[in-house]
Order: sequence, then structure tokens, then C-alpha cells
Amino acid sequence: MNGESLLSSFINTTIERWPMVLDSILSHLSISLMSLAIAVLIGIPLGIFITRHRKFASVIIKIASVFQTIPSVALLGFMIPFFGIGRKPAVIALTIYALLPILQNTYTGIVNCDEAAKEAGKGMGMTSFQVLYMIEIPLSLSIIMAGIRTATVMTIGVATLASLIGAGGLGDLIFRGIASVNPGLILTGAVPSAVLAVLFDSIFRFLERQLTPKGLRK
Amino acid sequence: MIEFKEVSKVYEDNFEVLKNINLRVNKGELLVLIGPSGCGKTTTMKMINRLIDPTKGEIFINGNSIKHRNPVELRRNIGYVIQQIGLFPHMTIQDNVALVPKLKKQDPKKYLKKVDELLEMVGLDPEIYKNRYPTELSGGQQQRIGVIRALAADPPIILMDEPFSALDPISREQLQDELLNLHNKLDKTIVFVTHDMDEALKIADRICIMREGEIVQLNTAEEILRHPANDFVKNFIGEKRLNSYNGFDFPPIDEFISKAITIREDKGLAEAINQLRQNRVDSLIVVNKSNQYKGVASSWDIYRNYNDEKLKIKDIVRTDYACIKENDSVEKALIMIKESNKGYVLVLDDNKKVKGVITNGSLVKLLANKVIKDN
Repeated sequence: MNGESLLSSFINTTIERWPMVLDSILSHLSISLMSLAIAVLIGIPLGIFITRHRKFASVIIKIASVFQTIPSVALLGFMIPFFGIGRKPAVIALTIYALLPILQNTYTGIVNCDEAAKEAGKGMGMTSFQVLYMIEIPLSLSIIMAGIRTATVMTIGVATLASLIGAGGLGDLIFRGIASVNPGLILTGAVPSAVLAVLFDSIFRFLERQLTPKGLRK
Repeated sequence: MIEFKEVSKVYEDNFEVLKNINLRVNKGELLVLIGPSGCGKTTTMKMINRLIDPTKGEIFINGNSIKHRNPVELRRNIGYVIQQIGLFPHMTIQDNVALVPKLKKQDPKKYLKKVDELLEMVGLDPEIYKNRYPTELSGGQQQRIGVIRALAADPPIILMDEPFSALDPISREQLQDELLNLHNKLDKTIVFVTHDMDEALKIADRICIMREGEIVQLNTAEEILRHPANDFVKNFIGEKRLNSYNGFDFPPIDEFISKAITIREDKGLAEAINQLRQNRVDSLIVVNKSNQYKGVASSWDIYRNYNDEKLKIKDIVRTDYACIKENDSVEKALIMIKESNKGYVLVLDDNKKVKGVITNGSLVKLLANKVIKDN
């Protein structure tokens, strides 16, 4: 099959099966974004917590790293005995996966932000919480956002595998395409997945720039 | 105002940074804590705003122990300036300066006006600078902001931890001058940590010299220079400063001696006139055969008595001229020149032999050298 016919096959399949494609995109997005949201809600507070209790830091980051080393397909498989199949186990597995970059960047960002500013803040009478939200978070925001972006791109990619445990999403199209030796159908799943990853990366990049305090913009 | 009573600090590894410190900082004074690194000066300062708590002993502010004061509330009433400046890069200059009043929830209208006043006080136009960010300012300007940030909530006490030591020498001098100005104007109690003796001598009301967790000497700059407590203090101040305190750095006297034009006392006046002309001087130093000082013959006396051929130099000699020994100080010579009104002073050795003269010209030369050296 040459490139031209692959492209037309991809376009035709997408148009023919548009309702199904759209459906897959939406469920793919919902799985990915839900996992990300949970990972952010856990990762950032946990990251902050370990900056305050440094002795836990290496243990917690190591645990998160261990999960990261498990191949994604295996991690999804592990979920079945505990949570069965469907969206729930998929979201849990993806959350675990997305946790490390967010956790680690939050920790490093805060730990590495300007000591002098922190000392000045403390010495002038900021509470620990004020130091956190008035100094540490604004100063480490770009690093934390970079972690979230990494996690986003990764999650949207890995979420295609969630179809294996019955969670739906663009993986459905890809695996069906593989099974029926239909490259057009594979692309119908793969291309939107890639586009989504790039799109969300750009959205977060934009958000990051908007959130970065003016004095720190380059 | 601030009082340390038997304060000690021992770290977990049993290292004793402070050993039984007793210290009083008077209201409105600028006290400098100085000493080599590791002497405990910064630790002492940080105990005042409870960034570090003592292991033993107590600290009182206005007679009240701060042991149980809420550290956050305490710190908001004590200005704090650090070496690394520590401005918040994500906040404008205005927001940086206004931080403590904001934390204290004061009325924005009031403190924003105060911010403008403070900026003007350190020579930064508020209209230009208040909406800028710290990175847009030079190091010297940044630390000016650091200093006025500590003043914004008008605290009675200000702690400064080597605030100028990271600045270039010119900015440092300027900021020291400005600090002195502020201190004169505002009547704050300032505790200032430094390792720079010149800085301490320049700004301090009193200097507290510390070493290995103990106070070695606490007194005014004047007293410390005049009566260093021990060799450590002497070394720390430095031989050069101890000398330069006595006026300024004078070179030894022999560098200023010009050759004296002498004449033997048994010579006649015609010979004397010849000497005056040849050497273009207006008086001759009179000596005996063994070159010992006998007095001075002025050209006025020589010309006036010239017609009397019988007169020898020894008949017209005057002895009311100032003489000093060659090992006296240049200072003494200068004072004598000034007091004698003769424009010069004679330098003799222990056997009254004439070594030379020190003239007004020498004084000019000395000052010129000093000016050249300083630039």
C-alpha cells in the first residue's frame, strides 16, 4: 500500500466512521484528563508535603519511580484483579503513571527556588503557608507546569492502551485496525491521539506563560 | 532596648556557637557585630527575631522576654535585611517594599504613600521604579530596596546581616552613607553584622567584637582603637588602622628632611651672603666645628650687619628656632612648623648634629603623596 492510498484510506475511514471516532476521542480525553486531574490533586500537595518533611522525600519519590518503571501494558493488567475492567482501573493506572513527573517537578521546583527570597520572607514575618503561596509556588510555577505537561503528553499516549482493559478511547480504533490489518483505521486512532497530545501540550504551555509572574518572564 | 542574658547556643552535634553572651543594645544605637567567620555574630543577630532560638538564657526586648512571643508577629515588628538581598523577583518594587505592611494588614492607601516616600529617600524616583521588577535594577539599587523594605512598616529595630558585602565598593560606600543618614534621621535601633572592619569603624556607634562564641570587646570605635582589649582585637583591627587612627599614615620623618644649608659660626658675613645667594635660601643654619647646631642666621640679620666687618656669624645668631629629633614623628614636626611661624623646623640627631630641615614644602609633598596614594 503506497502513501497516497494510505492517506485516502485514513481520510475515508475517518469520515465513514466519524460518530465512532468522535466518541472515541471524547472517551479518550475524559480518561486522560480525569487521570491527570487526580494526579495533579495528589502530586502537587504530596510534592509540597515532602519539601516540608524532607526525610520522606526520597522514599516517596522512589516509590513513584518504581511504578513508572513498570511497563504500561503490565500496569494496566495489574489493575484487573483489584478493580476489574473498564474505565475505573484505567484511570487508576494512568494516575499512578502521571504522578511521578508532577510530584518530582513540584518537589524540585520548590526545593530549588531562591533561598534568599525564602529567608527574607521568613525573616520579615511570613508564616510557612505564606512563604509557600507568596514565594515558593510563584517561583517554581514554571517547573511544576513543565511536570504537568510531561505527564499530559505521556498520559494521552498511554491512554490508547487502556482500551486493552475495556476502557474505550482511541485505542479501540487502533487495536481494531491492527486486528483487521487496516492501516487506515490504525491511523484514525493514532492521528487524533497525537494531535490531542500536541494540542494539550500547547494549551498548558500557554497557561504556563499566562500564570508566570511578569517579573519572571523571559 | 535589646538585652541578651546569659545566652548560649549549642547545636545538635554539640558544637557550642555561643557561650554565655551578655549584651545590651541601647535604644537608637547602631551596634555592629563583627568577628571572623564562625564567631557567632550572625547567630547572635538571628536570635533577636527568633530565626534561631537560644539553648540557654533569654533575650529581652524593651524588658519583655521574647521566648514565648509568636515568631511571626515578632518578625513583622523587626526589619530584616540580608546579604543576598532576597527581593521577590515576581513582585514589583512597590509590592516588595509594601510586603510587611501588607502582611500586617495595614491600610493600602497609607503604606503605598510610605513606599513612595521611602523610594524618594534613597534617591529612586517612585514613578520610574515602583512598577519595575527587581531584575531590572542594579545590585546597589536592589539593596536600597532591600533596606527600605525593612523600613516600610516602621519597625523600631532593624537587623542587617552583612547587607553591603556583596556589592561593588562604590555602591557599598554610598549605601553606608545612606544608612548613616537614615539612622540619623529615623532613630532606629540597628544591629548590623559585618566582617569588614572599615565598615564597622565607619558606621558603628558601638562595635562588638566576637570570637569563638564570645564577646571579646564591646565599645565605641574610639575606645577600641585606643585600647584594644588584647592581641586578637589588635590583629583584627589591623596594625594599619591602629596607626592610621593617629591622624593618617605618616611615612618616617627622614623621607621629608631636606638638606640644611649650614655655615660655621666663625665665618664672616660676606661669606654668609655668598652662601645665601648660591643656595637661594633666606637663612643659614649655624654649626660649630663638629657640625653641632648653634642657631640660625637669617638673611635679614646678615644684610643688616654686613657693614660691620668685624662681626662673625656667631655674633648675629638666633637660637629661638624649633628643633626636633630625627626619631620624632612627622606629625610633631608639622605641628611645630605651624606654631613657630618660621616655615621650617630643624632636625637634629642625639648629638645635636644637624640632619636637615623640614619645611612647608615637605608638608605639601606629604599631602600630595597622600592624595596620590588614595586615588
